[in-house]
Order: sequence, then structure tokens, then C-alpha cells
Amino acid sequence: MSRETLINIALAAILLAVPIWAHFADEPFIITLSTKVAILALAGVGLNLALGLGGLVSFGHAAYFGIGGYAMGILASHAQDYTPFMEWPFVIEGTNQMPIIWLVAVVMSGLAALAIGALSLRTSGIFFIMITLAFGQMFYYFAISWTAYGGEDGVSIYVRNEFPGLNTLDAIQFFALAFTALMLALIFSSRIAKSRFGLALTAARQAEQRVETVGIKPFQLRLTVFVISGMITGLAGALMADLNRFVSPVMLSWQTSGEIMIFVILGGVARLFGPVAGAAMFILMEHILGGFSEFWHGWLGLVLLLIVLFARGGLIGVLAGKEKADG
Amino acid sequence: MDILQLLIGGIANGCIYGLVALGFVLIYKATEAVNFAQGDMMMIGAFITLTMVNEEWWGLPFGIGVILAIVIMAGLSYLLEVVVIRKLFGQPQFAVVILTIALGFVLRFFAGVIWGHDPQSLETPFAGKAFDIGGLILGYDEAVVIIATAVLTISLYFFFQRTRLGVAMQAASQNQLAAYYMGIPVKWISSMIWAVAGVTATVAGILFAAKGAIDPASGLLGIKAFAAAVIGGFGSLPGALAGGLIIGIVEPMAQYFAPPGYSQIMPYAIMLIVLVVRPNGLFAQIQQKKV
Amino acid sequence: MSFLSLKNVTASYGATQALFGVDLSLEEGEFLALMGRNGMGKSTTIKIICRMMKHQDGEVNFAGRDMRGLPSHKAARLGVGLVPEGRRCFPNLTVEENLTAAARTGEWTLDRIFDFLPRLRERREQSAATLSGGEQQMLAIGRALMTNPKLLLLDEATEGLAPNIRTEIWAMIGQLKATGLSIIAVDKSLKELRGVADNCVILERGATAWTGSAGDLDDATASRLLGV
Repeated sequence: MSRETLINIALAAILLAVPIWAHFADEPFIITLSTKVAILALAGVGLNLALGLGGLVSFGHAAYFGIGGYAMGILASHAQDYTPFMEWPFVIEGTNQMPIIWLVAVVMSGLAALAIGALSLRTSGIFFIMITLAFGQMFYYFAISWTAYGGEDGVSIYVRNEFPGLNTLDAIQFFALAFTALMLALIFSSRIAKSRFGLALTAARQAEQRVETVGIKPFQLRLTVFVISGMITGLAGALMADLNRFVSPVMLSWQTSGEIMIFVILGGVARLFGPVAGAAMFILMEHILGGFSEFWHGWLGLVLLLIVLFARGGLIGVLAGKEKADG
Repeated sequence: MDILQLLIGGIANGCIYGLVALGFVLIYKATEAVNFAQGDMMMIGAFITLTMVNEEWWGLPFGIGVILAIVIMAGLSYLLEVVVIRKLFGQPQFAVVILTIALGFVLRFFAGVIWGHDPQSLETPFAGKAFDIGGLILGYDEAVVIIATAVLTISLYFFFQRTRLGVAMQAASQNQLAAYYMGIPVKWISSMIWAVAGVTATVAGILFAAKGAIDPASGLLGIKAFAAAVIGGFGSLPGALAGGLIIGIVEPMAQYFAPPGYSQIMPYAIMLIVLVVRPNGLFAQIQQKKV
Repeated sequence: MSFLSLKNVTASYGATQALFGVDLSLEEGEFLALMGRNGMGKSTTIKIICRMMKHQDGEVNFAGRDMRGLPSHKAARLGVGLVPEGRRCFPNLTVEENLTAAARTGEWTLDRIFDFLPRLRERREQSAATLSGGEQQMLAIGRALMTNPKLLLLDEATEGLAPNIRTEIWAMIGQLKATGLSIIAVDKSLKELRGVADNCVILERGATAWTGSAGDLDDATASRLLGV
């Protein structure tokens, strides 16, 4: 078993152990922090598929995060008000059932990714970065002006949504949901990377023209991975909104896009558990350094600088050494 | 009349966006690196000038303070390239993007530590005064912005088109490897380009701080300047300026005519439209890399 | 001491060794043909000479100077002029700008280049990207000449060009030789090379397998080492 796999297992174990300990030590705040780590990691897993596997530098992934969040906000707020979301051509009621909300979140963010990807993937390099950023910004400003759902103030949901069979208000149970989602996504992500689809993407990333000559169409491959990536990040957004019982345009901002990208990089781009390590590091830094000063971003920047200059493989790269197969 | 007034303000803002965009394009053309910290470099340049010129700091004469600040920023940018950016030579473009984003964080942090987080104004000899042209108010500061931008852009244009060094720099940006073979000192050129970008950033910062106030977060307008550079085509200096002007003008117009909130979207909306219609930007140059 | 000499030079690309002991020497005014099948180390040797690559063991001396540690733009300043494989012109610059971008003072002035390559004069304001393959090759040669080199390296100068253009370029190369310029040419056209070269060095698996004058290179050796 490779060093990296060992580290991955250790990380998963730590992420599971800490909140369990906190549950018995009656420190619900730590459970919440761990849940945040799991959810952000999930968002990062989504981005990492596009970024690490597809080589697509998407600077607007917050769009999907926010769409997931707003799916929750919109549906739950209608349930809360007992008003239907839509009355014509057919009635759509609000809902506070997490599974349904998550399904909607995933579908909606997938559709958005499809639309955005179809347009953006015709460009590459710096233009791709800018165009994904632009789309993200447009969603952001649109949400701000959507006064029906709070505009800049966002939507608050008073009661946590329900999941059949669980008491979602119990911190550890909600954590379990988030953790399960994260693990499933990681398994899925790992499977994709090793599949023929994943290999074709890697080939396309490294040598585009050659791949075309064997009949592989990079555009379709990339669009597919982009959509999957958006769906996973969308799910994370819904979960985050569930956790905070709050969604606002900030979830769609380019700063959020940047943050997701930052912890993917901190942990290690294209490393399976990179987003987990990165999200953990990010939350720890926010918690510890943020306690000293609200301008802790400066330190974050410094760490990021050091990683980009000296430790390209991120935290996992430092711990696990070079990847076995040079990806 | 209102519209003309808005236009003047828009042009002045557009010049500043354009100058920042110019810095992006310079660096991109020369090294294919995207400097997401360009806006923050503008902010630092402004603060350095402020330190030189404002009474409560060093209180030097305006002209001297400006020149000193420009020289210092040029030097700092040069050092930045040599010490940090150069280490990423040969790595994918994305690495430089992240590096410069991280750099932005660090610059903002240091600015906050050194100068504090409250907005400050630059004391200039032309603050507050204005020309009255038949009812239209053209502030001295706005006039200076427009003239300074024009002068700087034209000088850069001539430098690159007409001087030996400028042509060599263009050559280095079009085919680094071939330029190396020919004896053109490509690395030194990259550092010099960063120095020039530092100069344009400082000028933009001075103009920005003169028109309004500056605080560590001001560099975040770099994102809009970025959109300007994309609109202009990312390969062309006049294009960068044109992109900046377009955004600068459209913003107040959208605020005036369109429902609230739309003006914020405008830079991105325009950029999207341009990218869809003319993927290489409005003033695209031929982009193929000859192998 | 020869004008250019390589003694027992080894070099690697990372972990892969490419040169296993290349010996080569060139006198001033000589035309040396560097030959060998694909992958035998010709391009690598050229890179070593113009310092695009560092060598591990062995000596590389040019004009009395040890080239070890010299960066490539300094090598160019010393007088090594490369016409790179694949031309690599500056696509958005005009022909004239391409020529003058790296020019240095000497016998070769813009006018003399235009006399030598009249087609370039006709196209002086055109951007390099719009030239045909043969014209780009001429531009690449002209650009290297404008740096007034003491040693001209021609790496696959006729690759991918139509036969009639090739003939033109070989004629030009012959004229260059007549000016007394020291030249090393890597090319696959054995016949033309034999016609113009003074001496030949054949590389096999990264090492010198045969040296001698062009006249001594018989068909048997040629077919053994070059597969011609």
C-alpha cells in the first residue's frame, strides 16, 4: 500500500475521530468545524476533478456551490412559509427534505455547469479562467439583485432540514451525513480517475492534438468532467447551506471561488485527498489565526506562496512524496 | 449634459482601469504569465507615493515624490520577478496565477500593517480645482488622469514599435526560445517588463488615489481591469486601454440607465459577449506559436 | 587549438543519457557536416555547442574559450549563430524586425542580407507568420547572419521544404561557405552535404562513429552508419 494511501486513510480516520471525540467531550463547536471541513473538502473534491483531472482552471466554481446553496434556500424557505415555489404550469411546493433538496441542488448545478462549460470550453488558458470567473460573477450579482430571496442579505432558514431517520439538529448526526457524502465523492472521484474516461482526460490534458488523432474528443471529455465537478460542488453548497441554515450571495462570489481553489492547492492538486487536507488546513488557519486578527488572509497568502514555490504537490505532496505515476 | 458629465467621469475611470490592464498585458505578452496581483501593485504604488508626498508622512514636493515612488516600485517589481516569479519558469500557467493571487493576499496584508486599513487621500497640487467648459466640469485630477494615460500609452507604443530594445522585447515575447538562440537576454527582459508594469501600476495608483481615496483593498479593482484586458485581447497594449475605457464608460451609463445592480455586472457581461463573438478579444493579434 | 572543439562530451536529459562521448573539431573557415540517423545525438550536440544544454563530462572549447558554464545568450554574443530546427521566426514581427531584433554590428548589414536574400527584401514589411516555409527558412538564416556570427550552426535547414526551394537554399549555403564563414550543418540530404562540406562527423548512439573529409566518406560507410 503506497504512502499516499496510508496518509489518505489516516486523514479520513482523523476527520472521523475528532468529531466523535468532540461529541463525547460535549464540544459541539468542534463538531461543527469538522463538518465545515468535510463540506468544504467535498466542494474541493468537485473542483479537483475539473482542475486536477481535467486541467480546467475554473475560477467560477462558486457558481455551483452557490446554486446548491440557493436550491436549499429557495426550497426550504417556501416550505417554511407554506407557499409554493411555482404555481404555473404546475405546482412545485417547497420542501425541507434534504434528499430532495440535494437532488435538486445536484441537478441544477449540473445544468449550470453544462451551460457554462459548453460556452467556456471553447476557450482555453487565460480566457477560460476569465470566462468562468465572469460567469461566476454574473450569478453573484444576479443573486444580489434577486430581492425575492433576500438579495444581498440572503435567506435564513430557522429549522434545519430533515433527513429521514436522523435527527439532523444533532451535530454529530449531521456530520455523519456530510462525512458520508465526502467519502462517497472521494470513492467516486478515485474510480473516475482510474477509469478509461479518466485516462483519456489525462492524455488530453498532456497532449491535446495527439489525443484527437485517435478519435478522442477532448471537448466532450472535458464537458463531462466539468459537469460532474459542478454537481459535486453543488451538493457541497446545499450541505453548507444546511449547516449554516443560511445562504447568501457570498457563496457565489469570486472570493469563494478563490477559497475553494486555494484549499485544493494547499492540499495538493490532483491528489485524491488533497481537498481534505487543504480544507482542514484552511479551517484550522481560519480558526486559529483568525482569532488573532481578521486579516489572517495575509498568512494564508504566505503559506500559499511557499507551497507554490517549494511544494507544488501541496500538503499531501509534502507528506507522501512524488506521485507514483507521473500524472 | 448629465450624460456628458458621466462620460467624463467614465473616461477618467476607464483610463485607470486601462493602465492597470496595460500592466497585465505587458507581463502576459512578455512572459505568458498572468499577474493577478497587478491591482495590488497599483495599491502599493499609491501608498508609497502617499508616504512620500503627504504632509503627515514625509511631505516631499509632489513631483519628486512621484518620481521616487515610480523608481521604487519599478525596482520592487524587478526584484519580484527575479526572486519569485522566475522560480516558476517552465511550470504551467496556472502556477503563476495562484502565486500572484497569493502575492495579492500578502501585499494587502502588509499594506494594512504599514498604512492601516482606513482610506487615505493623496495630497496633490491639483485636488479640488476644475475647468468649467460651458457647464461641463472637468476636474484637474480627471484631466491629469486622461493626459497622463495618453502620454504613457503612446510612449510605450512607440517604445515597443520603434526602438531596438522594444523590438527585441517583442521578439522575446513571441518566441522565447528563438530569442534566446539569437542572443537576446530573455531573462533580463522579463524582469524589465515587470519593472515597466510596476511603473504603469504606480501611475495608475497615483491617479486613482488622487481622484479618490486609497486603502489596502483598493487593488481588488484589478479584477475589472482584468476583464478590460480580456476585452482588449490580452495581446495588445492599445487594446488594453480600449478595454479599460469601454468598462469605465459603460459602468456609469449602466448605473444611469439600467436597473440598480446591473452596472456591477457590466464588465463581465461585456467580456462574455466579446469572448463569444471574438474569442481573441477586440484587438487580437495573430496568436499562433510557430514551432 | 581548433576553432571549435568537443572532446569526449557526454550529456543527459534528466536521467536519460543522450551523448556518450562526442569528439568533434572544426577549423576556422571549415564546413563540417554533422550526420547520423535519427536519435543519434545530432540535435543534442548542436544544443551543447550553443549552450542551450549543459554537458556533463568532456570539454567544449570555442575560439579559445572553455564554454563550460556559459549561458546561451552569452554564447550567442561570443559568435555562435544558430539557425534552429523548425525556423522559429518571430511570427508577429515583420521580416525587417525579425532581422534587426538581435542584430549586431559587422559585415552583415541589413542591405547585405537583402542582397543575399532578395526575396526577403521584397517582403520586408510583411509579418513573418505570412511567409512560406522556404521564405521563413531564409529569414531564419538571415536573422542568424545579422548577429554576425563567427560560427554558423544550421540545424535541419532544408527539412520539410519542397525540392526546388531546397536547391535554392543549398545554393545559398554554398555561397555562405565561399565567404569563409565557419559552418556546421546538420541535415539529412547526404548528396548535397557531401557536395559542400569539407569534413564530416557521423554520430552513432551519441558518440562519434566516424570522422574524416567528405571525399573519404565512401558509400559503404555511408550506408552502414546512415542507412542511406
